[in-house]
Amino acid sequence: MLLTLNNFNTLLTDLKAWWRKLSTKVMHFALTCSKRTSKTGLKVAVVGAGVCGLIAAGYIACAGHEVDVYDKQPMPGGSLVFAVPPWRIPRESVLEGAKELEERLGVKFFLKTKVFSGVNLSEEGDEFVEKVLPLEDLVGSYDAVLIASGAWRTRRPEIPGLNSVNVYSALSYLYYRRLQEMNLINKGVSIGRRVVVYGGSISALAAAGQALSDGAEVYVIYEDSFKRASIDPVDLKKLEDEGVVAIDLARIAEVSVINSVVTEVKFQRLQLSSINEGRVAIPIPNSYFTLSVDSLLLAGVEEPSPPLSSDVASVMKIAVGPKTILVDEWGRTTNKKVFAAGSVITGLTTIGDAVRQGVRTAREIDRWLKALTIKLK
Amino acid sequence: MEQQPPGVIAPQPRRIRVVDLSKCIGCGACEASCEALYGMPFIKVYRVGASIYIPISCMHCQKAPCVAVCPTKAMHVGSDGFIYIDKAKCIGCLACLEACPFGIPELELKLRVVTKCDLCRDLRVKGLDPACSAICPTGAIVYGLEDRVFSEIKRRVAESIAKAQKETPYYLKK
Repeated sequence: MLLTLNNFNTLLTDLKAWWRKLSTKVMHFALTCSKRTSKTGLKVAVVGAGVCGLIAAGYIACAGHEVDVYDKQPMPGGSLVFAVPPWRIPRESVLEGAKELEERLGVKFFLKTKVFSGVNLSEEGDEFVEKVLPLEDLVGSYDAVLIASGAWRTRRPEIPGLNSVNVYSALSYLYYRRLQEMNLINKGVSIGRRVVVYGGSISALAAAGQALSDGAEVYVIYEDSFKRASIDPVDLKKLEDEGVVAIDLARIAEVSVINSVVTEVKFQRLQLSSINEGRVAIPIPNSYFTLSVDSLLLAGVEEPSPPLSSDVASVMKIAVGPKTILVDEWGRTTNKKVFAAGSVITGLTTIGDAVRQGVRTAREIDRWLKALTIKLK
Repeated sequence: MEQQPPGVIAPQPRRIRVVDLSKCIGCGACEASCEALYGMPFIKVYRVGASIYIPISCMHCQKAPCVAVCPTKAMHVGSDGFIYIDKAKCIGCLACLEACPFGIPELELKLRVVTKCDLCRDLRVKGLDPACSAICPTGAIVYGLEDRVFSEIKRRVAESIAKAQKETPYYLKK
């Protein structure tokens, strides 16, 4: 073979691609097998291709069942791809992991497909949906359904002015930044120079870190004490070292809006005091301070986004609580064909929790399907 | 092939697990996958000091003190070089815990014998990676052939040095 400059270049790119493949980390979602060996002929639908859905899909496929994964986004990965910054978790490791499931375990992905029944509430990612499937159809045509649709709904606090254009939820800010990075949208969000993140959750810190790296001056303000928040104080300390101003025990008292843009936020300081044998934050009179802001990010307002509304749930015999589906400790709902796990149950949770619940529920689904085959025989 | 004198075992290509602490973001996926598969986590992520996460699990030491002190020879070195516990022989005396510099051995809830990480022996016989390494989203838990793992760790250091060089301001460069 003649080594011309042209084929030398192709060889070089091949080598580079090979080396990149060797050195990039892949999340192997199928922990218990490398390819599907047995076939039971039973079919499982997984709603949501986030970390919980994918690891469950891997486990169920390894047990020999056929798995179809549905997701409304154009790519699998859920919040790992569409919210977590790529410098924390490389996007390729998740996407390659999903590809591995597809190629080696025969898991079928149905993307841009939203599974939903009932009255639709808006969620992040609805703009990519090309097809809507009712949940009843899945329950009808599959032997088991796992709901792992995450927490993509936003609840806004009832303060007048918070529906202005420069008020975002922390999660949707992260989400639109990811879309912008992946060139999936033309126009991104611009948060301006001065940003107030209001909340004390994991998403508050993530959004504050993102805003900081976008070059903004960031304030994190929480209405309770940081000591009682669900976040790690060390994470907060790290952000403070990088220049974030963190203020706790202060709540939004008033929002000044000019032309549906929030320009100034008035905060009132609170103090912890003992009422009814519990520490409650109560407002301190005349302790106001104001911050002029370019945008306001609301954190800790993410709510589970189950693929059905409560009226449909009662028809399908799925018990629901005020916010989401009710499950037992194994992830079973009151409809014996339907299981649920991950952030859709607990609210926005950690990757570790999603993995734990995903494997546990997948094992329960496998047990249930095996019991079914014994009965059939 | 050259004949080996009796009693001498030819060096085998060994596998090894190394935790690259600089890559760990403390997501807890390793701990969760281990717990989900085996009922209790044999790798646990601890956070000590300023934003440093340390996953603690059996190091599978080359000169394992737990093996040396075990009175019933329950703790032993497997043919692949990893440290295993023979639960039938274990009396639960916890001498291994006293000897272990990392505090790894734990008592099983029901049997009251020592249990610890076996690097997913059941998965490895099928040619798979240990679960913690397989699921780690950032590649902090590196498992593989010894020479590859050692060179991967060095390659990462080289990458960070290159990055530092690139980002050093011109006035600090000679």
